[in-house]
Amino acid sequence: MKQNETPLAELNFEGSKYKTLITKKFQSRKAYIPDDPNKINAQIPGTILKIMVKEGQQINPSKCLFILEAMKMKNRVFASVSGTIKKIYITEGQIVTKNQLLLELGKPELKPIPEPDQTNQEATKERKTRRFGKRNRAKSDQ
Amino acid sequence: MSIKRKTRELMERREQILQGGGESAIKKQQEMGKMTARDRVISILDENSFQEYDLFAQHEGRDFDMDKKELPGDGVITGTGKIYGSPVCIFAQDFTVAGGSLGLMHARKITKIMDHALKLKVPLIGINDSGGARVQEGVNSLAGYGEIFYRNTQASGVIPQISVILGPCAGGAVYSPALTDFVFVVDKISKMFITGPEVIKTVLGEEISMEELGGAQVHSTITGNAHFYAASETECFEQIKNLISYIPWNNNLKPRKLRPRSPKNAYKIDTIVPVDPKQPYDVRNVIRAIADSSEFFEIQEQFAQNIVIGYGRMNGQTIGFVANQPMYMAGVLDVDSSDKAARFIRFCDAFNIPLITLVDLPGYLPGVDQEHAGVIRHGAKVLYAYSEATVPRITVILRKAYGGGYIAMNSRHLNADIVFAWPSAEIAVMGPEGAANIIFRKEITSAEDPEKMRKQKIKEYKDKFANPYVAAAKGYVDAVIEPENTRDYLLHALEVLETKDVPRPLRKHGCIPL
Repeated sequence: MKQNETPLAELNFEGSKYKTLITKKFQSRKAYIPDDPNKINAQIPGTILKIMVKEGQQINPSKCLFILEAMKMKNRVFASVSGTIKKIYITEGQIVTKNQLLLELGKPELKPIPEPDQTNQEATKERKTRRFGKRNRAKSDQ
Repeated sequence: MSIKRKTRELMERREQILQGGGESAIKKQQEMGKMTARDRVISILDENSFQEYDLFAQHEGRDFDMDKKELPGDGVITGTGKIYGSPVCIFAQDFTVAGGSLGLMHARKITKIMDHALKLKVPLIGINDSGGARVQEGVNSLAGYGEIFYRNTQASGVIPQISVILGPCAGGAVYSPALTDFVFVVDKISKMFITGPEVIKTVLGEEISMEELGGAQVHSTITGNAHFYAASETECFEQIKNLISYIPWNNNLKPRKLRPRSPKNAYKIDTIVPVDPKQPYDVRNVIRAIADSSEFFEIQEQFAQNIVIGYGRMNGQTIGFVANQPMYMAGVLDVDSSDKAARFIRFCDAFNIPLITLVDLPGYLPGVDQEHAGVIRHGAKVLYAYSEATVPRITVILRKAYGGGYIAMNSRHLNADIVFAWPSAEIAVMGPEGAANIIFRKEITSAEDPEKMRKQKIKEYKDKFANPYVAAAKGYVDAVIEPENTRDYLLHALEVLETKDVPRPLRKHGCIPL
């Protein structure tokens, strides 16, 4: 019987401790880590096509950070919070795996870039297009 | 021309095709440790019982110079045969012919034998050993796969369908086995995946071997896609034959009855289960102690080991056993064990196999990973499967039966036909420790010695509720029985339930939470 091969463990179930074998799957389960909005991880494996930000730059959720090409799609990646780019771990052309840490944000400074509202959204769009030039814009929208 | 000469011509033609992909391809197949498709079919079936269909089929490829190629039997062998005298339909993909690739004619041969199986109402066995779609035949091969999937679904619950993976089975091809009832795999030979290691590497940059990605071990331990694991093809064929002996030909029949036999004396039911509900034991020994000849044919032995499913016989009649396994994870229900049990219960219900459930579990497994993996949705499948089953359903509560887990394991409340409990049964809303901590929280925290008070309260709760009599008083347990007579009680119950007939509501089908 397998009982002799592996030592019995104690499984705590609602305060009762049961002597039992632990399945491999249960043993290798990952502890839950809450999402840290300041850490940008790769949600899907792929290639970094273009990085649009620099370390130290202030950004907000409407600012595209980089383009990650995966499954034949060019995905534009945004942060979910405003802040300063603390560290960039990637270079253009790099292949990244799932959940790899790509970019880290620091605490936002006292005067964050205001969130774009309905009235100046058009203006923001225009500004963006100008900054990256037409060619890049077209590419990132493919 | 005389008929003799014509017959000679037939023999010559047949001889040509029987050689499959030719000597060198056969040699390659054998070097990989694999039998040829024809040898496989012959080994599974009773001697001289194979009647081949469509030996002279020719492929439909017209592009890319395919029209100049001969593909004997178009890479698949189909026909009818017998296993222990029971008729079956069978097909086997021939890897020596164009890598067993699936073209239109190849698929037509398979769908023809599937239609035949459904018409005859006999089990279907499919041996998969194929490189995938025949790319030269383009969209025709996709059509072929789709037509196979459609028939797999139409036949589901009407005839038992068995898939044997004896080589690669990749891409869309995996969905035919996935739609069938039982999947057999063999160590180092079977490989199943949607996208292979090469694609994964080029697209995602992740490196993994075929074996690690979708080998026999992976599918029988991690994914649960496989039901039976064997070390060799010969062992696999024995398993298939054994399975066929337990299941009926179709949903209108009962499994074949064998001569009744007593369990072996080696299994003493009253010494297997420790009284302390926290001590583990192997519940399979309880099954062996009550099944004919102490034979238990386990399904998905390595997957979600905290629940045990499989076939045994009582009085010669096939029984589906579902049992919590205290040896692993204290026998809890979780995502995987719920899936495993629910699917088995539904197969038994579809094919007139009575169910005996042995209960010994603390409940559903707590944890973030379980909640996030959807234990609500998956756990619901067990409740659904039991509640909808109309075959005889018998429960024996051996020890602990707490909380939602108790309800799910074919309780009286889900309309079980008879619920037995051993004197060691503890039917309660939760374990004594947890319950005492909640009910007597005030007393415990305000006591001078909280630990002492806690122990005292746990004992109080245990004395009052950790027994089968509270539930029996309400009629939730139909009978409290002596463990050593369990088999006799079960035999009587099965006999009485022979005529069970439950009217079902008029509906197309239920909507099981998948």
